[in-house]
Amino acid sequence: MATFLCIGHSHIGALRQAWHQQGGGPDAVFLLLNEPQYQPALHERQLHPAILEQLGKAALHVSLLGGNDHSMIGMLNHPRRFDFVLPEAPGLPVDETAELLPAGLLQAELARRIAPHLEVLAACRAAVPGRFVHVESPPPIPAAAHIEAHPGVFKDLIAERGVSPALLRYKLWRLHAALYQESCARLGVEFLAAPPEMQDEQGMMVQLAWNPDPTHGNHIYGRHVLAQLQALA
Amino acid sequence: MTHPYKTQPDHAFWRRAMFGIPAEALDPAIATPFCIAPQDKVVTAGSCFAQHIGGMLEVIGFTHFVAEPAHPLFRPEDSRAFGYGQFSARYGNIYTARQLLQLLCRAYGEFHPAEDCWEQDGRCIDPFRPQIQPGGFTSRREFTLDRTRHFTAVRRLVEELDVLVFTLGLTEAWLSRKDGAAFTICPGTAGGVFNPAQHVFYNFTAQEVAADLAACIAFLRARNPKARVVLTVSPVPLVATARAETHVAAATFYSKSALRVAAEMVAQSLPDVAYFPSYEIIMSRAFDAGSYFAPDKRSITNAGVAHVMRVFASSFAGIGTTSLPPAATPSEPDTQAQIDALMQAHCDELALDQA
Repeated sequence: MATFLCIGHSHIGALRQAWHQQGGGPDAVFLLLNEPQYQPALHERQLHPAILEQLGKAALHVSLLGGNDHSMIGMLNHPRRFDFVLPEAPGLPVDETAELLPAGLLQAELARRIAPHLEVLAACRAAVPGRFVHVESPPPIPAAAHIEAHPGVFKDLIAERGVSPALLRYKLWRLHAALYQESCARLGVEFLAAPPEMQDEQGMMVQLAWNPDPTHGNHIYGRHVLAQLQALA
Repeated sequence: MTHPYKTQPDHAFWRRAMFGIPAEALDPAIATPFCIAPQDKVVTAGSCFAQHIGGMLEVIGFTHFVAEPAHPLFRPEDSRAFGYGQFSARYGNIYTARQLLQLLCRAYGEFHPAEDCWEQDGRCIDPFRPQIQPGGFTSRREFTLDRTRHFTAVRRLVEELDVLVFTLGLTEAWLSRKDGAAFTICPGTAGGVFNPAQHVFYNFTAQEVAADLAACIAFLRARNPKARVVLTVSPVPLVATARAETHVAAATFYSKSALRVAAEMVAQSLPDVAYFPSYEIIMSRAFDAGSYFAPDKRSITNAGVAHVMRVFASSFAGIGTTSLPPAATPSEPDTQAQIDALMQAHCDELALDQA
């Protein structure tokens, strides 16, 4: 039996890279649902057989499902720039020159976007007994210059719109995390917060953890998350 | 022998104007004191029936002036649940003329109600628009910042509008005993705690409503002399009356009658104030087989709204609805869909690259 089975989307990449750098081996299994053999992950409320056959074969099941929906909303400057008051930290600065949007409306939009991931999480949770952990998605990369230097598929849109303020991206990440945290509590899934040592004083991702792209953590980030998981296992 | 009725037009006679014509052809808006041009900025406010008017304005080619528009990030139904897209600003339903007057005064810092925020379970509810934020504001700061923005939007409406369409909804209201602040709905029903020592029921008379309307118009024109006003009365019955001794139907007919009288008084006495008979259009079929009331006998059917729309368009712009341009649709969803697709590709790329 493996120690971990990680199931999810692109944020798995950092963990898998770190695992391989540590020597790899069968103790960790990574199910990347972006891969065609697992799609659709859920059909008529049933998990894809290729997923189902892997579940239950590890001591600890780990979700990295979703994790970038907040970036879809706010990574780029919107033509109608917006900001909001973060419910968990209402004292954070608000851009008074931007439209003030209700946090509740942003929560509703994020909830709609993450709902498919939560359905998969719920189905996975129901399919296996024992501990199930969801790993919080990595904090945003604060440096617009890094994102501009590694825009990937966003090259044209970044040139057109520019990268949104780091604080807005941070607030959206927190809002997104709070929704996952609430859902995890409801589903009986432990919520594993981002490693504190991978966050700077503002809570954003430290430079040594930046992957050369706009949103992901690198193998160093992955190593720290693996250490958290090893402590849980 | 001659007499004044000899020369009256057809619309003055019930038999000629009401009997024997198709119900959907009824047009009781005979002469409006002004026209509305397509580029005129039209502001809507009032009771829930006014929400139909806002949507209708865009369909019939008028400019619905909205100072707090929904953000294109969100689905229209979600925005609507948060009070966007209902009126020209996010003030929610304004049922009484007193509420409108106090909103204007509050927006200009001339009235500061003592009971101005209901805090419960860490959330803040605005007593004067308790239903525009499901679950309430998430913090006092969000509440304060949003209200500041809202008042700025209201001032912008006041100073830039060409036409205000105000739909009167109720005479019944709940007031603060301390300073007379008119709450949107009874405290305790959608936030706050009802306290008979602080809150009192009041049923406005036609004269009081007329006085409040006149004060609203004076306030508006002091800041925007060109403002024209269209008054309508909502045909939607009371959901409930606070008068225990009165049947809800009797309370409804009193309320609508008083509002209708007040609207007439103001339209007759002030320049550039029109009364638009949407109430009459809907009520003309209230007891027909083809009633404009839905099966709940309260909501107005789409056919009723369409009839009101046709008459409004022909009265104020002289246009028929068959030649109306379609409402503009925002292009934003395509851009957001592009971002969503790129993010999917971005994540797939990373995941599969490292596989």
